[in-house]
Amino acid sequence: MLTVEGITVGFNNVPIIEDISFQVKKGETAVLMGPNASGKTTLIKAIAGLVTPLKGRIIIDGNIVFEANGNSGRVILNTPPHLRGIGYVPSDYALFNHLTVRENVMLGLAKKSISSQEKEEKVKSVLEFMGLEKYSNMKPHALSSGLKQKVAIARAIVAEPKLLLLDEPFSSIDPASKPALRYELKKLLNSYKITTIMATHDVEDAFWFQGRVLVLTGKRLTYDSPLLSIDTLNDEYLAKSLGFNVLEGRIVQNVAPGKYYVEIGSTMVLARTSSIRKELTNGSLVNIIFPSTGLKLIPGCEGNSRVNSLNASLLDVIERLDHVTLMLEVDPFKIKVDLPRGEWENIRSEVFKTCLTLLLPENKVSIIEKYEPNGEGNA
Amino acid sequence: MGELTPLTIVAGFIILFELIILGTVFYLAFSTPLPITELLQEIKESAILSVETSLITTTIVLMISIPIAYWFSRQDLKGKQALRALLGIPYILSPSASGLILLIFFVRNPFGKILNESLGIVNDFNGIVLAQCFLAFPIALIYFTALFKTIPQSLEEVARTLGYGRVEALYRIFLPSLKPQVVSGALLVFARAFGDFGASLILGGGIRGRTVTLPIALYFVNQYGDIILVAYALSSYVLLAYLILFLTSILER
Repeated sequence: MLTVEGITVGFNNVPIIEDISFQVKKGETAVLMGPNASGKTTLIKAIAGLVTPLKGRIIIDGNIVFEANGNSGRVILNTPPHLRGIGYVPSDYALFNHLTVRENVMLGLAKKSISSQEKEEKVKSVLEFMGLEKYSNMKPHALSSGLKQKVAIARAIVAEPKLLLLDEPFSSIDPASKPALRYELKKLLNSYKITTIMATHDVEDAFWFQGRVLVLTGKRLTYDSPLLSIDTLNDEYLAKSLGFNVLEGRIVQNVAPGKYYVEIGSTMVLARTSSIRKELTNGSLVNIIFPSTGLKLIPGCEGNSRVNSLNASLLDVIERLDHVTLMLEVDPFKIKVDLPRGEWENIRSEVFKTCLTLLLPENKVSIIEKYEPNGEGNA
Repeated sequence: MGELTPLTIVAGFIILFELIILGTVFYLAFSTPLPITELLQEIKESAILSVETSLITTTIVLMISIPIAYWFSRQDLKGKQALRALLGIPYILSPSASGLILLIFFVRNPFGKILNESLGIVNDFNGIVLAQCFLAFPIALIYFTALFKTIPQSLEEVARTLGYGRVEALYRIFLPSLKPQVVSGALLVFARAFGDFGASLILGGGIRGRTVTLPIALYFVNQYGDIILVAYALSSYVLLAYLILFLTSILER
């Protein structure tokens, strides 16, 4: 349905995203993740035709909509946005405040060559489906963020686009309203069967709209998988978003297939490679990841001498309703440990006096690839 | 009105002060029987000429400045500052200096002479309009460029995905959405044109019965020396100004 091949976008010869390639199947929802300023919006705009890539090719529903020669950078084909069959919803929703909700949605059909009666009917049915009829004569500034988002989506889908591009649809929605809106959007996308790309920096969206997860970090696509699972998790940003701790280390020794000793500072950690299929060479730079739960923390500095035990010092304690989150420093990294209340009460009196030892259960530690800033994988 | 705050007291004093000042003029004009003179008729004609030329100027200036301002607001041209400064010169110069510059162009430059002969500019109605346009254009350009910079890029992008070209989006979507601000801009242009004395006098020539706008008429009446007639002319001027401002504020809604 959508094919993006080797797309590079840049301004004044400084690339913003480089050599991005992926495919999205018909009806699929692709969640495009990445930290702020990683190029998510730029990629969305390149697909929409709002920015012109330096090279690459974009195919929507079998039609080439953009093509530029890789070497000369000459643009061979660049279909204007409104002829690409896309619906676009920017992160600020971009509603026209002088028009009513109905008129805003009607703009989605303004340039379509169908009768005005047909237009009226289409707008009416979209408004009804999205539960917006009762707001149809209101101006957008009187609406909540959630309703504004719905109006913007209604405007984008009323012309039945082949591809819907949503840029951070939930970024201005308050956390309490997000689940209900996510549910409604999911229902909408399923019933309209629109192929969708949704940019987000909230990993929660990846779980809700699981279909395909793409991650952009350091200008490149660093993760592309049909779904989020611990076995496919090989991206540092994604791991951090999911609450994993990430430490940098070097491969020291291969002890068994998929099992390696990794040197973290002066400590050896035994870790497995669940997501990396290839052999890792000794000395190569990797990241190890482990969750914040199920770890053991004991007072005293016994670490560094034994495998999987790290010396740590306590930075901060965040008391939660049912557990306690500790911020620790494992030089030079900062890590997060979630302890059940009971365990915390046992060590509470001692943790401030002495340094601590963090024990990592062997089955909880995984190796993922380490991407250098130049975008090349070292592992 | 709400409670009595220092701000409302200050505002009250300003309004009172203005009413007393204007009231004096009105009192003088209407407490004494008006001598019926030819000048009275000429003041009326001047008022009509002023409104007429200022409306034409406003239309022309908005038509030209809005697209240029939009283009300015969307471009990051090299040398933009120099270009803006050049276009803004009449904004800083005194109106009579602008009038003199135009006059020299139309009587001394060969191209200016041809234009003058074919269009009838110096000492003519068109001259007044041209002088007013020359003065008002930079104001419109500065104002509308600043206004269009406030249009979020995302609105423009959405308009493009919906099939609106840049120009069409400007006229069909953005201008209607900025109606109150556009009306305010039009008022700025109108005020500059309506209030001009120097440039209109120099290029229009101040020919009685032909090119005497209201500000020029006031000057002439004052020279004539009848204070009652001056007060009468001023009262008409003030009433006209009030009417224009009132109509504008209705349009702005």
